[in-house]
Amino acid sequence: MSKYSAYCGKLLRVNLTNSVISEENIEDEILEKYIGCNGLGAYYLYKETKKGVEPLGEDNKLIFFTGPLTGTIFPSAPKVGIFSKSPLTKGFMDSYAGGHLGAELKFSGYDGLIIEGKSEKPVYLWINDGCAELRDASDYWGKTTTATREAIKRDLNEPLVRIAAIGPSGEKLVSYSCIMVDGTHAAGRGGLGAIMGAKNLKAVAVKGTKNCIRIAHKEETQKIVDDLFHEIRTNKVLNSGLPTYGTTGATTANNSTGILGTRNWQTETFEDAEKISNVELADKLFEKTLSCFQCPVRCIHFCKIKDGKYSGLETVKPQYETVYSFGSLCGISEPNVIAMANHLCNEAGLDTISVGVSIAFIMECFEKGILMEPDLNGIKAEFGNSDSLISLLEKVAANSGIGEFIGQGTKIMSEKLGQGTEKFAIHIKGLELAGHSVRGYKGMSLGYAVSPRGGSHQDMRHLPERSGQFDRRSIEGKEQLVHNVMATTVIRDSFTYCAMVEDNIGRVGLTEKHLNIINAICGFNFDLADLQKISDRIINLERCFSVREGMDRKDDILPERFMTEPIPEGPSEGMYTPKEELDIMLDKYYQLRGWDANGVPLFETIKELNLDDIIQVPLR
Amino acid sequence: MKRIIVDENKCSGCRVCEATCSYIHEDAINPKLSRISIINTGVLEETPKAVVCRQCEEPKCADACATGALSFSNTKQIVIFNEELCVNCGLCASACPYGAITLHIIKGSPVKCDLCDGDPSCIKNCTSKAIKLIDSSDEIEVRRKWFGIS
Amino acid sequence: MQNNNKIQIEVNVKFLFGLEQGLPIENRQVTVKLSEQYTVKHLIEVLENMYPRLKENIRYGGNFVSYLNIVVNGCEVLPIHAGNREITTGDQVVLMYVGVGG
Repeated sequence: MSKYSAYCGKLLRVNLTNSVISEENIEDEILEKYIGCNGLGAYYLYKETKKGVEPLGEDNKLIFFTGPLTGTIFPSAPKVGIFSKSPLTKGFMDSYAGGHLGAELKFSGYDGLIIEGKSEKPVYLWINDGCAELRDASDYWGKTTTATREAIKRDLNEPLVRIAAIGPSGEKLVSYSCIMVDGTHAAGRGGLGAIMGAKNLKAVAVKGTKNCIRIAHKEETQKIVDDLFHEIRTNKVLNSGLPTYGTTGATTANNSTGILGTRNWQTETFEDAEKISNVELADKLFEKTLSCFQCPVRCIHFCKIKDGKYSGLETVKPQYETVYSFGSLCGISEPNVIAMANHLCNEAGLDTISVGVSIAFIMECFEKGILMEPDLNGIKAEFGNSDSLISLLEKVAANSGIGEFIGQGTKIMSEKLGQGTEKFAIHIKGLELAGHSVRGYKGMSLGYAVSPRGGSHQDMRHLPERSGQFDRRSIEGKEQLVHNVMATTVIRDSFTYCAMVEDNIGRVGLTEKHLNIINAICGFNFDLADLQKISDRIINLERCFSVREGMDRKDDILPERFMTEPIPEGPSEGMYTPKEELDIMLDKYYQLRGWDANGVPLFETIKELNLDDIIQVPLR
Repeated sequence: MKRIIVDENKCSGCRVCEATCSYIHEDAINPKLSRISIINTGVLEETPKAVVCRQCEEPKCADACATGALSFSNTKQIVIFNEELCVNCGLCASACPYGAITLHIIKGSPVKCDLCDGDPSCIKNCTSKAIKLIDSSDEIEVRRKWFGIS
Repeated sequence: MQNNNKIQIEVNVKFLFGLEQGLPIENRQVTVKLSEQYTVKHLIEVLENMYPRLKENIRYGGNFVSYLNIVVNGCEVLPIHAGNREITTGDQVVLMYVGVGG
């Protein structure tokens, strides 16, 4: 039992090789150093894996963690983070899913799970209020995520359990497989589903009713929570925009400033953006508004295709990233097709961003004559051809024919193809790019380059520049901006509150708000310098992990397209980030972080952050 | 009688009401300690069902209670619970035809809605505006008016 | 040109990400004629007179909401700089919420 409130103080260790399941305490000292979720995930992953660990091997670990805010009365903090060494980037990977699983896990008595080893046959983990067992999942192998959840609920006779499951793609080790949480959420990025598949772990089912979560300082917490509820209720984006459209408003917003990735980022304006706008999608697809545990923002929608193609399909609606990856990026202007593609990914267990970007890459190869119809199992992979998009997607989901090639991700595909395809392979560190421009925001250029995950928009955020608060066209001061924004995103993911409310808590640099939240809810006595040090510690730990696995400055690089081709038209015409500009920003950023010119954390930095207990130098 | 009703079409299933209720009454957050339960059913957990005490004028829970710990109060117009009389037998929970009484995970006593003395905390934070306090025994009429069901 | 108050300019204004909610605007865009003053601030005042409900969408307690995004020809203009940003015929002005995305 921890002296700090809101935690369970325990984790569950599950060894799949010998089927031993044990409980472990999480020491208060570790909570003080790493706070939760992102911090704890990074700590245990670094400590418990050896240098050079094979992502899909028995020795890699799959770690689940909640944050201290999960399962409390703090609004919009439902997330569960999943951590491992990525099969896609071969570096540190964290991906977060909303829904109710995180809270359920805490109500069952655990802050997190460490899954290790490899099962001989397919199993799933059943956590029933503090009792855990591994059960046979042979009958579920090959089933889609929804069919798996339904079968587990039926077989356990527990219709209300919360389930994280992989689909057939994860079983077949497709390198960007996701882990679906319930029917509506995904820990999407970096191929964590393939790690579950490699371990023969089909699902994790959780029921939690017994553990009570307590708050340290009632009055302070109530005031923080009341204030945040008030802000959410009076904020048009949070109380009207997101409940009506989810995040899909970004499509036309990005298009209006000329930074909407189109046809594999050949351009950044899409002539049919209006056809896949939030208004069109809401009109054609969205039905009921849904939400995660304890979240008044409600950005999810149950979706039903009302007429036309795939009419009658009932599924969860695509969010902005998916509208980008299957829409503008593949030149598709039909909302129904985007919804269907999203549905296929959810059922097969694929990351919608990575698969969309990979297919857009194939489409450009086709356009340039590098790949022809016979190479693509007879599929005419033109931009804008929705039947081809769905056919290619089905191949990836089944990991058959050309799908097996596409499922390796953009980086491997371009390395195998050669012929100059590296120039338009849109990935960073192997992770396909999210739907926020690299070229259109100088801060994002740097932020993407140094993101531990790679092409993720959740380490650096595009919003400080999108709002005009910082000039997106200038490299001036961007090292400090990235430093400050990443301090908040890593704290966000450690506390764990959702990106939807990050503006209300503070997006650029840590604030008294961050501090008051964690002190009031958990009973810490941190000051702002402590919190800053914790965020620096976690960022450096993630960096050290990736450096240990062979990454450094050479990997802090952007896709060649963004460093050599200016945006050809539209409001952001002419913008790009040449290598020289990136290098200037990298030098300054490394210096600010206490890293050497090659991007490797200095020993003084490691020692200063009290990381020398788990980090052995030299790192490699 | 007064009671809480939930418009399940508006409800997004966020369970803010559960966490708030549990915290206000029990100082701890646990869905089983909440007087209101939102059960997310459906293939995509998209169909929230709300379960909360209906404050019956002829309550089955009170009929089942041997000690008189539960009874309908004519002055308050709700079913009241007197903890001092309760022997934690659990018969009330079995007797409630709506499944609206759960048993306290530590004490074993019934966990049931007391309308927070007329100002229910669950309503306050429901951004979907799906929860309402009504004062009528004619449920059909209320549903017609409020949910637009004709 | 700005000093010649006889000149009228026409700008196209677009409303994105739900900012148009409750306003009688078709296709989420409108053409506005301006005379005398030619800044974004003035344009917004004219719009607020045309659509009184717009105030609810872009202001809280009299000030612009922090998540209001003004874009002129693809360039972001901070609300506090709206008074200085001049516009002219043919300009495309977008009012939208910063939103979140992703």
